[in-house]
Amino acid sequence: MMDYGTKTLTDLLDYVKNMSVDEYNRAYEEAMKDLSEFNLITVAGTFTNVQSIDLNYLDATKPQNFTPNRGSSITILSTAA
Amino acid sequence: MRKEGYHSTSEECGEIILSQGKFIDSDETNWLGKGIYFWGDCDIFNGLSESIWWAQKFKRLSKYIIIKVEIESDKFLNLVDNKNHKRKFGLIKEKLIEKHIEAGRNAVDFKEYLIFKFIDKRYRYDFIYAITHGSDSGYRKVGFNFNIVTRPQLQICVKKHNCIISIERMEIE
Repeated sequence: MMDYGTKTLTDLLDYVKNMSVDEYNRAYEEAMKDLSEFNLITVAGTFTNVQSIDLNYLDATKPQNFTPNRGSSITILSTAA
Repeated sequence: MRKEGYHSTSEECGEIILSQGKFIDSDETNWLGKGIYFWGDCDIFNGLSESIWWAQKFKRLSKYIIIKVEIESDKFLNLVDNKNHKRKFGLIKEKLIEKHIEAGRNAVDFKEYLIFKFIDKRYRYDFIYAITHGSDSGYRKVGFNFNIVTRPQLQICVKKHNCIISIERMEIE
């Protein structure tokens, strides 16, 4: 009897083999949207002369915080008053 | 399949997890899709050391907690030492890259996350078990500039909390 992993991967392989280019494009765009949303951060506070923040070094100090995507960065083009 | 995993987090988050006996849902989308991530442990991977490294060097947490869990389920994907799972996963990736190129896109823009997105959408895995390597830019910044992999990292991505059968705080010396 096939285990759950092998069974579902076999099913997924069949699915992707039969996927149209349009379906692929939709799935890819949706996945990329997830990744770009994941990179968003709300910055609270006042920043002066800040050009970039390296998200690698932010601490997740609150339960609600997300873990920043490795290699991400945010550039502040204008500073808050 | 039963596995042990280690999770490092800030002291504040760790206290909440330990008091509630439940992990906080994560927005993490890297590596193996959505889920709670643990460092695995076996003869050639030291999960506890990796979790300490993650807290101290990568996240730079001044106060952190290491939590050890036991995970058990039959609904898993094992990309470490299950030949069938690894072979099928490879075929799926190959096929998707073909579609990616067919769609006029550049192969280097293909993201493995897409596969885990399909997996999360279509199936009900309890956990995914895989080896990752620190080749991305974030890792390079903290000293992963090497070709010889002396510290492979074993990751466990838990998709469903109910496969976590025990939670224990680790004492760190």
